[in-house]
Amino acid sequence: MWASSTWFVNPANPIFFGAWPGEDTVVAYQSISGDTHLISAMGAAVLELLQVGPLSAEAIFKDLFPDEEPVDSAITTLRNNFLLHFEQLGLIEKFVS
Amino acid sequence: MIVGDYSIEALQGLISDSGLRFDVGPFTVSLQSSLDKFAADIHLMYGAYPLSTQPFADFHVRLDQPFGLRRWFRPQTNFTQDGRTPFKPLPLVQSFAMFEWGLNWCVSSQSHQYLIVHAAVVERGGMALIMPAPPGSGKSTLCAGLVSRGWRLLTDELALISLDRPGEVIALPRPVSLKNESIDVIRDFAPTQIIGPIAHDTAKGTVAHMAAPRESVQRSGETATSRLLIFPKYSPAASTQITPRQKAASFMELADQSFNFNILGELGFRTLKEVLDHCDCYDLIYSDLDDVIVQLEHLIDANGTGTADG
Amino acid sequence: MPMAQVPPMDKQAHLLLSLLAKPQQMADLDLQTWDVFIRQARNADLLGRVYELVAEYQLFDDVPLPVRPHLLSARRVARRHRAMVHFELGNLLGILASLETPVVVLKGAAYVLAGLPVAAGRVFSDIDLMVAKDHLDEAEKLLKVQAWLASADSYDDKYYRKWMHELPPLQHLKRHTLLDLHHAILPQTARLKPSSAKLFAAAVAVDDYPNAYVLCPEDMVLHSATHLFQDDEFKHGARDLVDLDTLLRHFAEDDGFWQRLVSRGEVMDLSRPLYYALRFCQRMLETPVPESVMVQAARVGRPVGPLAFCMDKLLERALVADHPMCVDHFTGLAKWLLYIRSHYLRMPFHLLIPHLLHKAFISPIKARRMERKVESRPTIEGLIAENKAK
Repeated sequence: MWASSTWFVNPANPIFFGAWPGEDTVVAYQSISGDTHLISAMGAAVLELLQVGPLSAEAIFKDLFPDEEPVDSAITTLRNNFLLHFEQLGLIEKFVS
Repeated sequence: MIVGDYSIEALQGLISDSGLRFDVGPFTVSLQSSLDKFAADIHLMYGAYPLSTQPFADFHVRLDQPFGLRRWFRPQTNFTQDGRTPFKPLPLVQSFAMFEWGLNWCVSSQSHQYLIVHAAVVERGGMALIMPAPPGSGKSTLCAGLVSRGWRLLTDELALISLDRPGEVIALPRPVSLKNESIDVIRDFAPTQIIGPIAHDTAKGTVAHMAAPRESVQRSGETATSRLLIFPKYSPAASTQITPRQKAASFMELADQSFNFNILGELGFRTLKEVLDHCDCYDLIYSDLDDVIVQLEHLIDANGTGTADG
Repeated sequence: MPMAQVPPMDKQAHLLLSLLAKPQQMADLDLQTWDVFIRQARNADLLGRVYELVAEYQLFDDVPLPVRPHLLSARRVARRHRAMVHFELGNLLGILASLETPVVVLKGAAYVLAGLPVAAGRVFSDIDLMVAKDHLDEAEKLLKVQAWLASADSYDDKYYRKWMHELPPLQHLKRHTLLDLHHAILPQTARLKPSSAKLFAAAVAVDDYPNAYVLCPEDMVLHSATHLFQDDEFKHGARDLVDLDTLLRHFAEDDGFWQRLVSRGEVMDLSRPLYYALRFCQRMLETPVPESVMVQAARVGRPVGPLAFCMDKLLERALVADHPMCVDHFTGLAKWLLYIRSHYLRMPFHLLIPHLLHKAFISPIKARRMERKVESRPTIEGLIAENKAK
């Protein structure tokens, strides 16, 4: 069931990022809704991917960690700590096929 | 010609009739009032400001008593811009403070040719120190202190950030607002500074204003490049502590203190980002004005030859 | 004072409307006139429109330097409003999609959705939607789940639901956007009763959203006319007149439009507001209404004798820009009389008086549609926040 979910950034509400070298947090700004968030560097990387196009949790993992084994527990952590959280914040949406 | 070239009587005549038109930073204000004693406050606090030479004003404002039977019983003052008011009336004795708050409202709600941030900005050696201002931070006291020691005042409340020159701050020098104990602190610290009418029992306690130094007013046309972003906190008996903080979190705070960040959308975001690109960010805890000013001078002078980060 | 002795309003009071009627004249304004013009335009929420006209007529070089930041500032606000309307519409239409019923977008939001010229430079105070009466409760439930909550105080809430048979305005919890969700364009208690069924039947589908519709051009004009002349708020008098004028000029590009407009006015029982709309647009903004159309509209819509004359004087005063320069002694009275009139048209008389008393003496008089604060910003001083009277 989970495998059929893809996630994406709504192009009607694009995200802009503010990042500075040596810092572990990044600003994410949604220019249409006006929401501004402080997120982790990894979170920003996830959002950047989803801004380009919709991806499943597995695909995100493989892109960020190409040398790692995409085990279930890792995918679940990615989903819970990032994707579901970001969905709640309104940064991304889920498309369930 | 400056406002102070008029006598108080002449000023009173102008204000009660066609209006006094003068320049405040990049803005021209047209001021009218039917109040008896208001001209004296304007003469004291805005005496150094240039009279405007053109028949166009950015803000046409009035201070009057509101209509009705309240004229005699606990009289009030009302601020209007072109017949509209954002506020309920205040006691008549708070007229000058009302003017200041009213002008703040005009600028912050109608000047989207700038990114406007609620912060004090002072300048030394061409570099700007920006102090965002959540209530209770003591930033106005610190601002008044710095300005009394020779720093140029760009603004006490409304930082105008240029939208087309990265990191540049436009000067809008106006009276520095002081509250409660700060009034006495600054009186002791800088006895030669002009402190205007004191308004008691306002919603914020006792309020007064320190006039902008003459030189700051004369240099209104000069911008400054942002260099330090400092979040001050007054803490009784604390020694001065300046600790670096991250830019991303500082961005969030600055955005939170912005009036029109969202109106400007992507442009607002990029402009704020440029400010953070230019600035080193610090938290500041202090209690001793003399000491904190010396330390801030060291800090900004040390950054003088540095180029912007990022 | 008898109405017949009321003098015409001062010329300066008509500056805003006369410049909007003939934008080319902006090229020749001196700085002093710009000073007056900008302030009247700002008060009428038309500064963004002035920017658009300057752009359309390529008059930038003729605008004096001190004036330009004001136009630029207004443009930024208008752009932001427009982007927010798009965003909110997408959000709302998505929420209401599961109703599987047409959603008619009304007024300003419709202008944006349909990409009409009237949307350019405009600011918006809320989103107006219409669904069939049967779906209203379900719609409210779906919206509530998505943080759109009723925003009126409990007296007003009852007023809306019980007497007006409407939902009170809804407000998004976080973004504070206001939503008016109707099942008709006029309250059920009003004297005029344009048929919602007819409106729905003639509504035009919108490309981007499967459930979204806008009113057909004639109905859009009629609705705007009704809103201007029946509504109890005249703060937007000049702005709404400009909306009407712009709509008429745009739709008139289609040859059959005028005839359809008058016929539709009769079918919808809205000939009276249409008559006023055409008359005042023609008089104050020089809208090119064909003479034969004016005659026909007057025949079916003009009130008899003294009432017509009174209404002229009343409306003229209420329609000019809401600025102290535009006020003469009678404007306050005129606005009050129109306020009463519009309430009369909405509610049966026996219900009218308690409500008016309540509004005047118990609740603070607040505009029902508040100025939208699209940015989330801190208030500069606690006092300023406390003291926002409107």
